[in-house]
Amino acid sequence: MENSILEVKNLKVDFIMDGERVNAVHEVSFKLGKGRTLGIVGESGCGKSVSATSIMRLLPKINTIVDDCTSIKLDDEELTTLSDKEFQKVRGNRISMIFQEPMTSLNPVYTIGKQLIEMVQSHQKISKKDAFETCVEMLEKVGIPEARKRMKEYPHQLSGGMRQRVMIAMALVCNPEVLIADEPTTALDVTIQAQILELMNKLKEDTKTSIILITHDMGVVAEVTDEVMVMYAGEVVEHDDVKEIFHNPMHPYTIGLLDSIPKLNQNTERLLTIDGTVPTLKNMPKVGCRFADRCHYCQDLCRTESPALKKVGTREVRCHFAGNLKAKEDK
Amino acid sequence: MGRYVIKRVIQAIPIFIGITFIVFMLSNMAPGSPIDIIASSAGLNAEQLQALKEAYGLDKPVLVRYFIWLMGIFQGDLGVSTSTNVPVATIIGQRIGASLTLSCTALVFSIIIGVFLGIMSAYKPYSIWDKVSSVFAFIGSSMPSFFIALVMIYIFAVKLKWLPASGMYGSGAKDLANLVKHLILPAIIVSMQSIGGYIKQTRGAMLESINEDYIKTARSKGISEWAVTIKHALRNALIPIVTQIGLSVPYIVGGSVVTEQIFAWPGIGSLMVNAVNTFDYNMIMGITVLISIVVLIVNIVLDVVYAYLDPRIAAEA
Repeated sequence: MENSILEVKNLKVDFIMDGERVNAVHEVSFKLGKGRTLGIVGESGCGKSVSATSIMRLLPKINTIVDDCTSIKLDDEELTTLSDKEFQKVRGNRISMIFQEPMTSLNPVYTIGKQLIEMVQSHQKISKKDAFETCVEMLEKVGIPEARKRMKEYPHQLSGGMRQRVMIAMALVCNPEVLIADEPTTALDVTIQAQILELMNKLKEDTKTSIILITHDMGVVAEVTDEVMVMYAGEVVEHDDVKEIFHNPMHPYTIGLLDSIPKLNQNTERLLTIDGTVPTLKNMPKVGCRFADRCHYCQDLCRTESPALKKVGTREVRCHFAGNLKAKEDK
Repeated sequence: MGRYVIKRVIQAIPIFIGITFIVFMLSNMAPGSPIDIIASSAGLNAEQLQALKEAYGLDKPVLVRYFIWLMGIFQGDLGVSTSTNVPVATIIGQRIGASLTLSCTALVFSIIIGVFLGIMSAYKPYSIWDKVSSVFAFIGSSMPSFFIALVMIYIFAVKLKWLPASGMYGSGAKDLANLVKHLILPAIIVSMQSIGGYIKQTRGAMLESINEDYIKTARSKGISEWAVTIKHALRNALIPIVTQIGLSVPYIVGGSVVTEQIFAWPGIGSLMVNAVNTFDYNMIMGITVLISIVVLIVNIVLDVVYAYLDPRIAAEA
């Protein structure tokens, strides 16, 4: 992975909650290769959205602290030192983002066309007429029929799937190097979900845009990503190529996630789950492994020493006993 | 859109007739009439009283009188003022210019100041802007206007002698400069009452729309925070703001009674007070009908503005 387009190092995000500083994302580092798709997986509250939104600088400033040691490089250009004004030229233009809720993510009082054109014109010196044509072309690319007519329509006249296509068109209209998709299919029904994923795959091949796909759906991960980063409680717990992870998960949390995918060929009465929930930001364990309380393989060492991210071949895994897991007898 | 407007106008007609009916019946039920005043002061006998009633048409049944009056309204005839024997429409015509001058100035002033302070306090919540406008809103809406008026007269008219304290032109020339000088104090007082509401309404609506998903989308586009605030957040917050403005328009047209009285402003408000004092029912009814027409028109205008502001409303209409 010499050709990385986005390189995140030591991303650390703290929130101020009720006057107390709590850690939401801890030492997240990854490289996104050109034209690759990275899936960030984890359950609600694991910090995956926070990581992505902090790259876009979209977190509310009033209660968020991104640590100084954080480095985010886009094509070898450091982004964290840019002023807000300079960063505006990056946001939407070189890194863009689509969100979970297509129903509410478009401004209800402006036409689709106006919102798309705004995106183009804020980054390119281009006449309104040319911008209009660019946008029509983009809408056609994302599979919207009668694109020219749709440009003059308002978001409420479009279905959820169509709106998400519009969002994708808007995110890609400036040819960004990186697209961050924050659970783009979660709010859509399954058939539309498949169409949107297929569209993203196709567009990635056409435009060579690298994608960060945030999701909690392992099925989606298997379908579209090249590599997977599993996050738990604000930390990366495992990171490798998607096939490697699915064939040989090493971290107990990843194992649990994969086990909890329902399988048709197994005649189980109940779905397998991971017991317990993610610790809240305020109850985050200060020492030891953050997953220890829910782990079937937990040992004494896990309670006293925080595991570092170990490299095993191409794999990165945050577990003292990775590759050497022994189930506890009392479980 | 044209059909929508016509529909709204047609809907307003029965409402208007209903209002005139209630206004007429209430005035008719109220004790004391101009006839009683004339009769008691001149010591008329029963025959003379009857003749007087016939002259004013008061001998006819209530409903008949109502219809005569209503037909008159549609022809622009609001009856004759019983205290001055001049047609009500003529007097209102003389006074309405002064009232509109005062109320429109106050309205524009309060919208500009109120909405601007509201935007600023939502743009930077809990900043010094926010705190100053909060105090401002508090003073404006909690202190009675006559009190603020007296304080301002004391400071600017009596002590500093910068501005005149009463009248529209005073004894000076009837030119714009003189009018503006006389207008400043009453206009500030009238607008003070609604500025607080505008600030709070704008701030609240803005903060609500700023938390919407499409604002995050707008930010992710890489446009400036000010553009996000004005183009995306304010545009969506306009509906409650416009409602608030619409609601205070009739209040400003008919409601500057106290301010007009204090500043001896020759408008509808002081006319209304005189009419009540002299049991001049034709005048009271005339002014009430005028205000209700303003309310109806403002409501229609509001509906049209809503449809323009929010395409979803236009789609339903």
